[in-house]
Amino acid sequence: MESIDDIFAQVPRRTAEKWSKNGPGELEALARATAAAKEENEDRLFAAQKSKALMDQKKREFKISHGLVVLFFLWIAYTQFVGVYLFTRGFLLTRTVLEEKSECNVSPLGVETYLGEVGTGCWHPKTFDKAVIVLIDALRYDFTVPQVDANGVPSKEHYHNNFKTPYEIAINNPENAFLLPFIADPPTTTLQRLKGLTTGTLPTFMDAGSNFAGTAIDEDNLIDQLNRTGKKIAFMGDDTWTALFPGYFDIEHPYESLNVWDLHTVDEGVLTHMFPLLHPENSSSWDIMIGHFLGVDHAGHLYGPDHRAMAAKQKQMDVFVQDLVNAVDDDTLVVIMGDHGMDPKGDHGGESQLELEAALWMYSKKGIFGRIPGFEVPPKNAEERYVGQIDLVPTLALLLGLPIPYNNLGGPIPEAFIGKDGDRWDNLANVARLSSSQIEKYQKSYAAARKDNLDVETRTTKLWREAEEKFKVDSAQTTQDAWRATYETFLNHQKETLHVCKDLWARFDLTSMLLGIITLVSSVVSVLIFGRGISGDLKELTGWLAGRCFAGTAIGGIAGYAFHFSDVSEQGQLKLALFGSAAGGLLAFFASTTAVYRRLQHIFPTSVFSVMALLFTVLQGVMFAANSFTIWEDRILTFFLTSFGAVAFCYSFRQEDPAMRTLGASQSIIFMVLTRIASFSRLCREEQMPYCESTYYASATSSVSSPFSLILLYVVAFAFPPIVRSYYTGTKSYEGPAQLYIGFALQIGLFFNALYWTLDSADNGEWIDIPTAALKSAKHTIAQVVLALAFVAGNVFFAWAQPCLNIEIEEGTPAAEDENSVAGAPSSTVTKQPTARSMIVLGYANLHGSRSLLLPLTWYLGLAILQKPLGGASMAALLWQILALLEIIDSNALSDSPIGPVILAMLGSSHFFSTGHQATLSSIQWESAFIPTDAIRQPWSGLILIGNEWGPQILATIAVPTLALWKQPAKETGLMGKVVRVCATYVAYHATIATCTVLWAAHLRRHLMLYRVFSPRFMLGALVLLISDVVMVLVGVMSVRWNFLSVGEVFGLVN
Amino acid sequence: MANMIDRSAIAETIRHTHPIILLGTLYATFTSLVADPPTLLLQLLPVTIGVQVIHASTCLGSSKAAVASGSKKKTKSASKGRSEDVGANVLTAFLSLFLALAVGVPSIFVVIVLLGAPITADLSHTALCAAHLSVLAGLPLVYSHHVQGSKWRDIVSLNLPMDEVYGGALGACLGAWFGAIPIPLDWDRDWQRWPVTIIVGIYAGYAVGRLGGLALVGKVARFN
Repeated sequence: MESIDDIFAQVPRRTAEKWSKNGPGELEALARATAAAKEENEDRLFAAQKSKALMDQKKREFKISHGLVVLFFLWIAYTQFVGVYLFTRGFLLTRTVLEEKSECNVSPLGVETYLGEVGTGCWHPKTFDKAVIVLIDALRYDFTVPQVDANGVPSKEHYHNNFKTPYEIAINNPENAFLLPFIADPPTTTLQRLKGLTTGTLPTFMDAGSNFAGTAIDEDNLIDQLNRTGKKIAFMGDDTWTALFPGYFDIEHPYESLNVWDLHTVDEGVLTHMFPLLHPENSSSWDIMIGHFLGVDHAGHLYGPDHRAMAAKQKQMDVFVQDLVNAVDDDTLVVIMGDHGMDPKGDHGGESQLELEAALWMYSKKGIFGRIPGFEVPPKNAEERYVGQIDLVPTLALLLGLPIPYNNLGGPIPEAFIGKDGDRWDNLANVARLSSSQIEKYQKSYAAARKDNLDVETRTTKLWREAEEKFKVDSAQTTQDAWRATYETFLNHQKETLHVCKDLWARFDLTSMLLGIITLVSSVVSVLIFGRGISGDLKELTGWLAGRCFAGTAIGGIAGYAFHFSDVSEQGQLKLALFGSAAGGLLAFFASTTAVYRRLQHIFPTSVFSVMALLFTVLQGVMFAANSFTIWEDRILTFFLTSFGAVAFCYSFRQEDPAMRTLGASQSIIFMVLTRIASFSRLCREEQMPYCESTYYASATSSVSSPFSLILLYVVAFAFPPIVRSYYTGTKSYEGPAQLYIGFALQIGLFFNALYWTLDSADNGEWIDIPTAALKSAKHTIAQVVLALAFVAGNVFFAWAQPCLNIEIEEGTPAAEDENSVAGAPSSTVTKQPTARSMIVLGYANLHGSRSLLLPLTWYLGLAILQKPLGGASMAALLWQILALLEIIDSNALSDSPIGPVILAMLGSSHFFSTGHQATLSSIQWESAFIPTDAIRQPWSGLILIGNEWGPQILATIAVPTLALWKQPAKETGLMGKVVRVCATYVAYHATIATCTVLWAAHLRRHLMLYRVFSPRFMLGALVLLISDVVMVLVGVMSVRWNFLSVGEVFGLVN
Repeated sequence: MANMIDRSAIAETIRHTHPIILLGTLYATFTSLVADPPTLLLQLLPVTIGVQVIHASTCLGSSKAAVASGSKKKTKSASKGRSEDVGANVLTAFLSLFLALAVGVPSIFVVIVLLGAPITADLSHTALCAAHLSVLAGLPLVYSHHVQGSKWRDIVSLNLPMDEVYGGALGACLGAWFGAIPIPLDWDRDWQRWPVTIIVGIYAGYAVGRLGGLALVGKVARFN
């Protein structure tokens, strides 16, 4: 009793009063029960500790195996990077751009010779003070010389015998004019030609060192030299000039150049502005006048050469030349030339003879031109005689008294320097010596810039030295024959140097290309075997493979590096080490697969869907061999995607469960319709004309979005979040973080997105009267908020988010549970009450998928704002199509089929086109770097540009793991292995496409369309592969870790 | 009895020659098809309909053995006299034609547009293309399987055991799909005009598909 009293003493009075009513007997029982409960609690605590320890161990195991999966995908990415790098180094021709400029008072001959100044001519006495330089785009040589057939009958073609004046003057007054074939260096596109015509150097695909973002020329060039010597330049015509030479012209009248449909605006503009300036009273307002006509070129593109429009254009040009000749004064040099020719269909860009053969006509009333013996009349064609387009650069420079641009490789045109009697070989030898000396100076700087060995005398240097010696000996003799011989030695030097440079800059490094191809092809095979050729759970195998592949990579890298010292290969040690590492890793992979040969299965398709996956991939790979298929890739992708939708629709009818059947069929219809609607948003590439109409911008000649697309953005903002939500509510997964992501972030973010683009349009169109600065800062703030919400908050929260679950307690019989409730939930987390109450876990049916989809959702938000309004709508369509695809895959039980990842990858590629991109350099939307800011801030600007250019592919890549997780049973074993398989299949698709573009680009490296079609497509393919590799590892595969751990936290991890 | 042998001999001849007749007609009119697709397709349609109706009413009525599903109908028609059967068969064939056109043309039209055909231009081209596909693929299927829901679910989901009729229908659809491939090539040929290649694909696919159906009788496509 005393002990009981003690108890009483220890409890508060009110409790004691309550207990005292029950009497002491009850209290004894209570004490026993308390003791028992205490013991039980300890037991429970121990059990909980034990299960926690077990859980921790499972977590550790999962983290390790997941880390190894990440490592393996890193290895794949590394190998593919090596392959692309090796191929690119051999394939993309590069030339180092030197920024030195020639100086007027620094002659390449040294100081002992002629010392000039601006007034009299820098390196050589000048001949002209003024010049009118007229470029008639695509003026082919045969347009300018009389064409007769074998019987002497004039040609009846529309493009012949219309443009006669230059030829007639050159024949009748040879001292006033000459006409020559004017050979372009490919690629024969206007931009590249203008570079060649002003710098005198050879174009390559990419001039390393040049500012990739802008088109402005940073090499020494004629226009820059004119500016530096204080000449006033008037320009009118094709606006490519003002892009290349911003701020260089004192008078400028640029016209839009890409509208092929318009034959007259540019030409009329040139004519209107040129003749008033030629009037004597305006002659002091300019020194050099440049005009660029486009009518002939556009007539060729639009109708082809043999058309009335071409004849009319040529006749108009003929009249123009007559007027010009009458209008210029005696001291003005007139140059009329084509920048390239055209092929029989009127197009250009390639390297065929007709495209290369332009015409050059020089005229002056001074009568200083002569002929070299044997070429008294204009040649019939370039086979007889020609001059290079780069030869114009030293010719013009010396005639106008300018220094020859530093990088020039051309030589003076003899007709302009030989004198009207054709006997001034001394003059010719002197100007040739100037050119050669400058070329030699350039070659030395180039060798120094490339860190070549300067002590060894090259062949061209030897030629130059010999010519110089000969010049010094012969200059004493002063006979014209001796001068002629001297001239020829310099000419020889120039030709040889040009030959060497062409060889150097146009040479593919076939060994490097081959190493790249070997690496890429083996990588495709290895990923295919890994993703489709191994049966069973891939998870634990991946870890085992990752270790071996990394060991192989390291050993191979060291071996490759060591191989460099054997001097067997000329390749650099970096290349050898890289190839060695890739080869080592791949060999280790293939050797390892033989160890698990029991699990190997053949990868040839046996079912309709796997045949489709293979067929789509192979057909796409093959189609890059043809330029027309490559050009129409956007339509072909639409065709393939809709075909998949149609087959999925049909297949859905096999499902016995009517709910599943309806779901599959309806989602297939949504998929098809969205594919077709998205295909209406496009930006046509030049080659698609005239069968294509751009819709991405308000009109074909602007880069402003139409008001309609803004309205579309508001529709997306209001209608899209409920649509996404409907994919969650079906499995009652619209719980927890899903509400935050969809109901809050997506809703707000999409509204801000629409607001941003409204402000942007208001800014561009000056709709409202708000100071631009205020408007700009407002829209930048909005964009930054959305980007922070999507990429920072969205990603960080994803790591901490709970699964999309809710728990409801229902009174009633447990038998009433539907499929969303847990039947045998583990006791550690969900307890079934012994009474009739049962707990229903909402969202259990799509436990993994609903949470894993949050990541694509938040990335969608960030990537959408980087697209123009129509692109933002296209991204919404993409996400909806991904959702439909997830349902199609699930309702038809296709999660093991390769069709899911292949279609997902194709969706990304397809929306690349519907977001206003093309596989051309010109379609890159550089201005998107300024969406959240008004200054370039690396690395952010670069990342934003990547997000704009490859946003659709990035979004598709992030959604890949969800494909394996959508509506999968939470407790299913091998789910991680499924994720690995799906990711590998996705990488295999992109790797196959990239490898095919690489193979075709290598095979067709001498093809006409290399620069326009195959090279850009190869660059796109390679970049998409590398980007999807990186995003796959760092975002896709990594995100699975948080997903599994978060789900495991609630329901326990299953291996 | 002799009469019946004659009849089945005629049916056999029609069964084997009708794809040749169809292809031959297409070949003979190919130049005008290329020159003016919609006009010729409209003129060709009655010919194709005629051939298909004759084929359906003679062969599909008498060679039910090849049609794995038609057992019920076979016993029914076998019990009836042949002479009155022909008339009834022709009526059924025309009814099938009506159904195939009424359902086939709009749905195939929509699918072709979804696959990328122009949505505002060349509508008559596309519609006639859909009509030809309906007559070639749809008519024999409707004739053989009537409008049983479960059968059509199998037909749509490629779950029907393969036979000559089903093979022809699938072949025509696949032929149309592959026929789209040469269109984008920059060969500047007149026959690349919409929908010439599709029509050729449909007819060729139909002929090849019938043979394929014979070769793979009873097989069912596997999807997964």
